[in-house]
Amino acid sequence: MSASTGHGGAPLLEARDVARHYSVGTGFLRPRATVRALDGVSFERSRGRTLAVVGESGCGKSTLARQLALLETPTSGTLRIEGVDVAHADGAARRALRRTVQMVFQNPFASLNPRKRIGAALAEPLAINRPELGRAERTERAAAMLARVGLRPEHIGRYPHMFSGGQRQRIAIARALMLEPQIVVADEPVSALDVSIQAQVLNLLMDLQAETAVAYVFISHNLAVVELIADEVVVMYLGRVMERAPKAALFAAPRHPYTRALLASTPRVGATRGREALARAASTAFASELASPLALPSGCVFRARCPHAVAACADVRPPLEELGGGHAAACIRVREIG
Amino acid sequence: MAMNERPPLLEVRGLTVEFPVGGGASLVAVDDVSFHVDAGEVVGIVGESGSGKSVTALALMGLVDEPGRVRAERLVFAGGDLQRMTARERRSLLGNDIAMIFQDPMTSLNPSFTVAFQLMETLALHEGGSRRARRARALELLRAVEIADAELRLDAFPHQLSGGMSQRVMLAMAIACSPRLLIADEPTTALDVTVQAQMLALLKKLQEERGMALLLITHDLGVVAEVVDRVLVMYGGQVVETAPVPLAFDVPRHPYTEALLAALPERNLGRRRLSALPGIVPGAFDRPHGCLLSPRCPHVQPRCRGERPALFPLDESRARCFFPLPTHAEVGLP
Repeated sequence: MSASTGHGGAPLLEARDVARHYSVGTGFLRPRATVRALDGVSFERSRGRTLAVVGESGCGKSTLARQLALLETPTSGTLRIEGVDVAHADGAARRALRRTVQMVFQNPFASLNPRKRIGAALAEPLAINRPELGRAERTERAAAMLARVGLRPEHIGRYPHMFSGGQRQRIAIARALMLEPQIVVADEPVSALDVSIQAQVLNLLMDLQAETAVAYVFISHNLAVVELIADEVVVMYLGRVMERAPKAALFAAPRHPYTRALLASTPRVGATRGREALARAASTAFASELASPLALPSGCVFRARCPHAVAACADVRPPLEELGGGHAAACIRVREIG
Repeated sequence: MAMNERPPLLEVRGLTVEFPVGGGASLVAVDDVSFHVDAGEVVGIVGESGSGKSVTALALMGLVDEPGRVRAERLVFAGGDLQRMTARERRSLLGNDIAMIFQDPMTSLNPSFTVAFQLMETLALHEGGSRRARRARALELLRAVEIADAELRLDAFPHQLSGGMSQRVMLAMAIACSPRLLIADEPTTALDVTVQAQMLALLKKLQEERGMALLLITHDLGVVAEVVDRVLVMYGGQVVETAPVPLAFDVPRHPYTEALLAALPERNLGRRRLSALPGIVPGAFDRPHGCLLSPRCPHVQPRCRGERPALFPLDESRARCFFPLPTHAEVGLP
């Protein structure tokens, strides 16, 4: 992990055993239960690179995004941004960190205030975090950012409903970049968009990274998008990391049975796959669906759906074992199954 | 296509759906769409938001509400003219011979009733029988759609089911009367990939076992590639290309199909930029005079801007383009 240290020595982003649990009611007069939405997640991230977090509904990827964007504080574990421990930061320090981390959400129809003109939406982060800038300066920066994400100057006075989904997502990206953050956490930023618009927005994200060296934490369920945009990939399942690897290694030689099932299930257009692949995916994949996060199984959380599961899988929670080359997998049979 | 001597199960010619938008103007959601579905065939309609693919399905089902206007030269199912039927005749056709499942299974089920109640209600409407017989049939249907612990699920309420299970219940309801055509509008879009793979395999299996025709509407080219026999590509309410499936993706003849394929992330690995069509789909008020794709098309010629192309027949496909893309043979590829 030595390559991932940032300019200042400390990694830009460092998570150590980060957990986030929620207490939920299970019904009238019943005891409250704990949902382990995020359960011991660790990784590091350096400047100008893209970490992709993949997994299905309920795997904890959006919970992770909320911790990284300082919208919530982890229940346990350490999360450091630019070396600052988030849990122990006071109000001023948290405000400073918010300038470092910004967020882009999935649904551009819900993430923009419908009653606010685009110019005002873009200038607002500056008004809050950079009060020393004058109004004219803020408007000027908003206009410049609008041009950078490929929108026209006259758009600054318009309302969100006057834009298409792709344009709104450009605006949301522009707003996230207004404070020149080091990290942008993007939670499913292209999943609400059509294929051709998705390509435009992915191009924009890649261009902006080349210009500004911003690091992305790119949260997605779409493996094809991840394969294109990521440098490193973390695969999550029911709040835990199943596999972590540099992108090329993960897609060329996935080691965890869950990652393999996920890759096999993704429908693709192409000569290497076909109808047989579909049948294979459905059979090798899963007899059952996701376990309830309220009653996680003992040992490995994936064992109920795993084709390689043995009795020992129920005994211990498999640690994330380093396999060399930055590749790690949480499976006790990882060396047997090849 | 193989059964040319037999009339198709569903024949649609010149289907147009318009919604008035005030001032005498109207939004053309579906523009002169023609296609057919043979018995037991899997046909896909693929397109982006606003391409008219869902409205096409709703028009077939007779579910386009006022003030929408549906017109067609021909709308024939199994020899019966859908436009000449009385409302009652058409209703009995739906559910019995044509069934439909929708994208969002969570909102398609009634949250106040159990799975058994809803399945038995469908059965009472279409085939009758005693309560006990209908409950047995409901269980049989849940087993047919491979729901785990089917007996337990009978008395579950929709909120107790996952998205994948809800979609299986919807499918159980749809196949209850052994329809000859199942219309599935984005049936797996709301599901996770691993559940999607199971669902697609199940749809394909039921379709093959029951000899049912399937009209699959989706935005996902990967889903089309893995399930469908023949695809219609829609853009701006029009069919721009139709072709058998491996061919449509190996040798696209319409620039829009080519652009959709080129924009797929998996076709751009290792590149700095994805190939992306500039601009967006035309809206109600900026439909071009000529070819609908002309403002965005990389191969546009002066003729394309002045004149609307028809859906020209090519070797094995049809493309709505004056200058269709060459086949592999034409450019000297194997």
